[in-house]
Amino acid sequence: MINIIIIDDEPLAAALVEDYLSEFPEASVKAICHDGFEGLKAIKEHEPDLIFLDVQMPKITGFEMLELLEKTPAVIFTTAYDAYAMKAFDSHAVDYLLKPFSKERFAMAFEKFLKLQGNEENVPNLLLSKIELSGPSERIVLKDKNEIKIIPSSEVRYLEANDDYVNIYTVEGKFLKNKTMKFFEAILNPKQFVRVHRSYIVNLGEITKIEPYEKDGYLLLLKSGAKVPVSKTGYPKLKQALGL
Amino acid sequence: MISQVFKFSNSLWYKAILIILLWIVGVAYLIHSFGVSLSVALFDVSIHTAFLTLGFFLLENIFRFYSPQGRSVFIFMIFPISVSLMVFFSGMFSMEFFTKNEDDYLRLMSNAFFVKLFIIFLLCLCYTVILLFQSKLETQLQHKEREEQIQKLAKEAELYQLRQQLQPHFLFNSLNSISSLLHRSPEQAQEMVIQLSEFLRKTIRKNDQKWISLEEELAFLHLFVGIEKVRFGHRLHVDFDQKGEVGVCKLPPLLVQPLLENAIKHGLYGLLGEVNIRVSFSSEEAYLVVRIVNPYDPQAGQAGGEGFGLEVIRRRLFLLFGRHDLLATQADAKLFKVQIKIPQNYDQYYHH
Repeated sequence: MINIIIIDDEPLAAALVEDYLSEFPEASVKAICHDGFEGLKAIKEHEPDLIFLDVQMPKITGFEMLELLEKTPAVIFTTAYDAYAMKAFDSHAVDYLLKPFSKERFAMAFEKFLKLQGNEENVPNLLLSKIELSGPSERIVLKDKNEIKIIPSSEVRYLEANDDYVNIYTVEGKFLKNKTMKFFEAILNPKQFVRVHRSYIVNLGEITKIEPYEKDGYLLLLKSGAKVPVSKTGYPKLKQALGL
Repeated sequence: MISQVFKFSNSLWYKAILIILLWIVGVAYLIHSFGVSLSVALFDVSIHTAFLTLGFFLLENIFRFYSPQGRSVFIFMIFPISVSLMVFFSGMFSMEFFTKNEDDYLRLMSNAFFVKLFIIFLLCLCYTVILLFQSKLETQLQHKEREEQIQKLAKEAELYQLRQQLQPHFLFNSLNSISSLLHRSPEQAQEMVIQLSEFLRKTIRKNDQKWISLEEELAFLHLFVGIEKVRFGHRLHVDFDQKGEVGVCKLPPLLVQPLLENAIKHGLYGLLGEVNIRVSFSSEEAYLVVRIVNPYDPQAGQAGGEGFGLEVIRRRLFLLFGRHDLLATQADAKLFKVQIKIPQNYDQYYHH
């Protein structure tokens, strides 16, 4: 049996996936959810093998929902958005269905999942999966003590690498997110956020002063009083972003 | 032209000075051949050239600010005549002042009085004609440039509008709903196909030039909401209401629908659960006022990319009426309100 959850904010769209799945006797639909929050709950409860996931949904997008999961099931995206370009990232997408899709195209995606199911470690990198949004994200979605927080990127002061996590320093305080620096570098607006150091990404609007520091290094003073080091490779990037 | 030469910004002035020197030497030789000593001839030509250059400079400045239109030939002739007289007499008096004893020269000059005046006049006239040609050419170029710019802007606006009308997201999701309905309820699917076709047909046919009645607009909006309700019927409620004498009001097509689409989008994607949207039309003084209120999440931020479609409407209102004050928005903790005012006494068939 393959446990499946369908997450789509349009009931008819979810129903279509359900109808298509009825052709596969091994597929068992455990839940149909209409937003990312319901999706998170259902995934926690049912631990599905596969989810069908819409991208544009209320409050949080399908991508943002995935970011909040500790263990990600295999994903087949279903979306009308061809504006999203594919880009390499480490999510578990098996395939990407553009709405409206045919029964044959759907079957292809599902069979692809079946074939991959045996060797789990192939799934993550199969398709160049995490799909880049048509523009930079203006917010960060994260989990804080079982509560989902949506933080506008203008409220983010700087980010700091912390092993497998990233510390996000915001107006409201410090938050953790289980993602890489590379991830944040990719999703945040490059006009506002610059990776000035291997371990630091800083919000340009927060910088009050740039000071020389040790040998050919620099130190940024932020409005909040925090100090952020700038590396040799980070300095030219910072200069360029500030138009110096 | 002369003012350009005197800016010394390019190599033009080398050439200009060379030409002036050649001219001085040539004319001086000519005068010399009539029996005037070479030094006096050179001096005479230099003085006159200097005054002439000054005169040209004057002419150029006059015609920069004043370009005669068509019939005013007399006014146009006044400038070269007066400038040539000025050049002639300034030249003559300064020469008399400096060369009191040169009998040969003075005799020649008194004989050639009118010839010299005429030559100076001809030079001024030629220069005037050149100036006028140049200014005409420049105006024509400017005209052409402006026309091109207007055309480009119009095309841009049209494209923008087209893109705005055919929201791919709306279209593909609607098609997907039809695909789904075909399985479960073919009759509803057919109904949706017809609704969608009608909506698209109306969208394509509409242009800014012909305003439509409020009744037509309402039918169009109901069609649109009908399609959205097939997709989101479980969450979406849209109420329409009218206040005052709105029956006679008219409005440009496709102005309200994008706003409503925006309101629906921000309601549906900003919040969980039910979304109530209110659209009201009222007649206030010389305006048809449209208000759309939708619930939203001020904290939401943008998931990425999509800017607020309000800018497009603001731009269109400006293109239609040349005013920036017709669109107003207001946001409180839970509701987002947008209001547009459509002037009713405006020439409805006017377009750029």
